[in-house]
Amino acid sequence: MNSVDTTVRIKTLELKNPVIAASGTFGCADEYAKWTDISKIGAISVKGTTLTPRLGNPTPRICETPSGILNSVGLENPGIDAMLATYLPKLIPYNIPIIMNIAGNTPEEYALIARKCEDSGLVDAIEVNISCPNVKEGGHAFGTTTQGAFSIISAVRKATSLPIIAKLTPNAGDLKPIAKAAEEAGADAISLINTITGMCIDIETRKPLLANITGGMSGPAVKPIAVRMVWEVRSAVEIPIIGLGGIQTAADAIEFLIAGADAIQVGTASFVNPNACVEIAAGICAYLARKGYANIQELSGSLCL
Amino acid sequence: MSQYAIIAKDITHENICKITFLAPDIAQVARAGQFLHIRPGECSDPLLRRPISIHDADKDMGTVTILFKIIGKGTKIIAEKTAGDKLDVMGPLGNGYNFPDKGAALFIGVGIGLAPLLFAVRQAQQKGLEVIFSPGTGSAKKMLPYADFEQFASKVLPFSKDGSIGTQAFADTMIETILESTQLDYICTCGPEGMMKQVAKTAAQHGIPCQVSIEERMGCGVGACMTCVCATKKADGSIGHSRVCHDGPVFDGKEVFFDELG
Repeated sequence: MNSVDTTVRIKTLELKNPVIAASGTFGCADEYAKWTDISKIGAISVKGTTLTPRLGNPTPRICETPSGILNSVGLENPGIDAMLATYLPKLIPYNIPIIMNIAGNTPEEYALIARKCEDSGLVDAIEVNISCPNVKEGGHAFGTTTQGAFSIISAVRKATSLPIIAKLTPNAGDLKPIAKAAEEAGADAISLINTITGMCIDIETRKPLLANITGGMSGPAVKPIAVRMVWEVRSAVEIPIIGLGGIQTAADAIEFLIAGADAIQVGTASFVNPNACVEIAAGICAYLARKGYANIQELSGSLCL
Repeated sequence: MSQYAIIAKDITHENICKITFLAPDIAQVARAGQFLHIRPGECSDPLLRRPISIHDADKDMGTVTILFKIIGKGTKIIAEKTAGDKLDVMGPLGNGYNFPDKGAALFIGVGIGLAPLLFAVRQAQQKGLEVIFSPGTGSAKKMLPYADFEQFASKVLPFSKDGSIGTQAFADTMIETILESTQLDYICTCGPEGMMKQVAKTAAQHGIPCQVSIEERMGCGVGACMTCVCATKKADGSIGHSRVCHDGPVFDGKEVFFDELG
């Protein structure tokens, strides 16, 4: 196991293993500290953070779907200032890279948040959530058009020299042009997929199960869609890809790596098994050793056709 | 989290399940009011853990007991387990009740809301409080059996909406009746939201400290995912969100905005 190198590098961001705890599922401090060894995780992508605090959507914010969940949290977060001042410092003792996930209403807002992240000295990379609605252009998510994606990523690129990860939404349909636009705008990596919009109805009350009516679907059921999209985007961009969507085990993660991902994120699985990230990292390492790979890069994109 | 051996399982009233399992590590540290996050099975459907309150815990025997209503897919699967099976449990989670150091404490609950109150009356009596236990129901045939509670209480005062058992009353009028003859230093309640809202209001009117137990659909159970929030009054009087799994499930009756609950 010692002979396998699982290090992943995205510009200045260096992960000792390819497992990142996904934004919105691992908190923004140390809620999971009692249940897992946070220092063993490759990195954490902190809760999506906006310029000002957001209370988020009314509850219920979660419901179960076949092998999955819908969530409509609505980006509840304490705002970038409180996040940097109060919450991020709690992660410092665990000595793992901190990726700040950022969200906004306009390119200017994204740029301002990115600048604050860099100035704090606490953030190792920025993951840009472009699933937010572009309220000036009719409310469709920035990430559903190439112009929207380009405008956000280029604004963040001008504002910071930190590594930028563009997180794509599957609701865009064909992600290849979106990924290309993000790369052209200066993104250092692409992460995909964010959640897929879905809906559940209680047939006794005839009401939606979520107060927000619709929510984002995640969990094992979305995995084949996410793997397919990683494979498609791999042929469209040169920059590293971080795959996520329904990963519960090392075997799931390895599918993404073979399809073209350089690293992966684990989200919903942590709700069921708080030790999932650590177990998956160990499982990937064991697979690489068993198959005789010297490093994880040899596995990435090794799909046989 | 761990896999614990189930010692006993009973189903009563067709849909109330009681499971006792061996978990010395949980029994040692558990506080009344806390809950356990329980995985229905090893497969991905149903996916999420189910949050179930601790009904009782015995430090000497190392056992923990849960009592829950069989409502959906997850609770049905948990209820099908029997003695000898393993139970995948994460816990204890959340905060617990905060009893006063002395005095008379009323434990008043309705329906399956009585479930966390057994451990509560046990720990309250251990602390030296005088325990008054008041189980409520719509009608006698729906009342949860409460024989296990009686050994911890100096007074057992059932009440029912239709008068078929005990005093004919609602929770708030029952408290008024109790206050005619007894001074109360603390009220602990668990049950439907409307009932807890009335109890909290009555307690506040009489200046009696009161704690309620809030339920909300959960994800992670540890405070990381922000799905189980409830509206609470912050120190400066403004409304904020608290996480039921991490900051609760026990809250001060004056702190919760009941009308905002989902």
